[in-house]
Amino acid sequence: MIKLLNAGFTRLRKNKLFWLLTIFSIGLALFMIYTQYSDMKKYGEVIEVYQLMLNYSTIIGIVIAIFTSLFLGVEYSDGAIRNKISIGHKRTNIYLSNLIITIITSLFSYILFMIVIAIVGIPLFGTITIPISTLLKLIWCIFVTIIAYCSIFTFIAMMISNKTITAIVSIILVFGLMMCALTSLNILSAQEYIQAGAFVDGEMQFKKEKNPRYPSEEERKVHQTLLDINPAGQVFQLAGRSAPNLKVLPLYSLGIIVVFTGAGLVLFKKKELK
Amino acid sequence: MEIILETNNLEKKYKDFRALNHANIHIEKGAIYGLIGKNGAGKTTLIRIICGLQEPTSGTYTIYGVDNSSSNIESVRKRMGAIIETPSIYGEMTARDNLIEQYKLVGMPSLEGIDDLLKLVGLENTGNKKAKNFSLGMKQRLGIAIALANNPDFLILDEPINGLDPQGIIEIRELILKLNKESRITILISSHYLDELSKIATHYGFLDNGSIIKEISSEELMKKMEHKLTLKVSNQKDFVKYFEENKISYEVIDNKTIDVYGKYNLSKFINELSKKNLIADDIHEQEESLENYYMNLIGGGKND
Repeated sequence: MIKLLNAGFTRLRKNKLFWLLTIFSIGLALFMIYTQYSDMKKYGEVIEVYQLMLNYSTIIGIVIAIFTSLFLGVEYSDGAIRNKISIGHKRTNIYLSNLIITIITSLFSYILFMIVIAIVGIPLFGTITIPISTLLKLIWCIFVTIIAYCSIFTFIAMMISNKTITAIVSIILVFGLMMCALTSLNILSAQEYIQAGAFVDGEMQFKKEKNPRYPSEEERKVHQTLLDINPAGQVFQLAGRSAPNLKVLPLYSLGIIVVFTGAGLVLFKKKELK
Repeated sequence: MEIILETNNLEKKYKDFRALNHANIHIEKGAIYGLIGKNGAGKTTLIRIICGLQEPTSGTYTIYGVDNSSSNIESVRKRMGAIIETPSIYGEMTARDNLIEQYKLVGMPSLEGIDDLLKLVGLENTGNKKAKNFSLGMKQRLGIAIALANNPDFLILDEPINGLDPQGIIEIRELILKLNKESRITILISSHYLDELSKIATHYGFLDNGSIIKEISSEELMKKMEHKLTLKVSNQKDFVKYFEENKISYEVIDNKTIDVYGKYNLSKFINELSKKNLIADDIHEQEESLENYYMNLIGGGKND
């Protein structure tokens, strides 16, 4: 395993995609700071640095999907997995080392983003205004979600031997997860009562009415659970600080990690390689 | 003689298609074992199974005496190097970086041997050129260098000269001979280029429809391919006595047939025999090539 990780990180250091990811993380942080600073100057908005730190989480799934599918896809297209097996590495170790490299790279990207936000953002926007323990809890939850994302996309990359198909499936999946999360969020954010307007004797009159689209208690539970299970739903709630129960999110992520990694290990062990 | 690889009734089925059908091969230490078979005969399937990429449907194999069901099978694979179909190289990396990567993968304590390996395969001057821009021959040689990174004593090369130009074929051939002679590496090489294999192989395995139909050493094969006279005789003992006295290379095929190896002037040969009152009922002169031998094995015999 150590040999596989050593070789994996050596490849990572020389990999163009990794350096692009690094530049992207720094560039995105600087871009966010620039746009928020402009808004602050123009409209006098109050910008919270901690909020900027959390914002990257909403798109981290896309970044992981692209990185994992392309980085691990090469393992098949260039015959690296074939080589690793034929020189006696266990399939379990190959799978886990690839997962670890993906996780560390993704976390590195996020941490780098936060460091840039902290170094450049705090002097511009002021210090963090929420308790540090609250921020750390949110970041911890985001990190666990990142690991869950990595386990899903590593699973896909290790199951599909074609780099292009891996990339397409991963990207479709991440957008699918985001769409599902947004749908649930939209349903959950519906107002219970709405103002309905009607003309009475030629005059417009408003009255408070029950919103027909307001979900029932059961529906709310279902959508909240779907949102909590879905990594995209988790990060939307974390970035918006709207999660009703923060503690369950890492548990759902842990479930995803166990299911996808467990299934991946079993299936990869049986996979017929060409 | 120590057996490096042995397969026992190896079978591989893909749905209804049987890629390997009770294949049995035996590779001795120090051999260059040429695995011969037409496309689709099962060569690559056999190699994939030996390298652990696929599981056999039934049958077993042993590498250095370790059974494939043993938990130590991965450990013995650490003594192997392989190129399966295409060389396993990262196209975005240079030759040196690819070797550094392999050195880390196999856990070499230092990177000291890389220059020697690059020199061995003639890639010492490729500098910063990425492997994806290499010619097919260069890629193949880099693949061999990668397969040699762990100092293997068993090397598996699947169709290593496919698509190479004549110069590339010569380079690979010389490299294989050098590895076998100087480093005593046992080599399994699959190919359907019979001529090329005949220049390097010490042993042959003929694979057809998933089965090894014949295993033969190159010495035996050369003997079979030699110019020979096939004599049909009734007084076999007298002929044998004469051949022994005159140190003539021969082989008794059955109680009426003797093969005499070597190039002889047929009329002079018959004259010499007749002086000793040795009259053959029939004499047939023949010369066999590896190609003929192979064709007879796989199809000719069946069609005749």
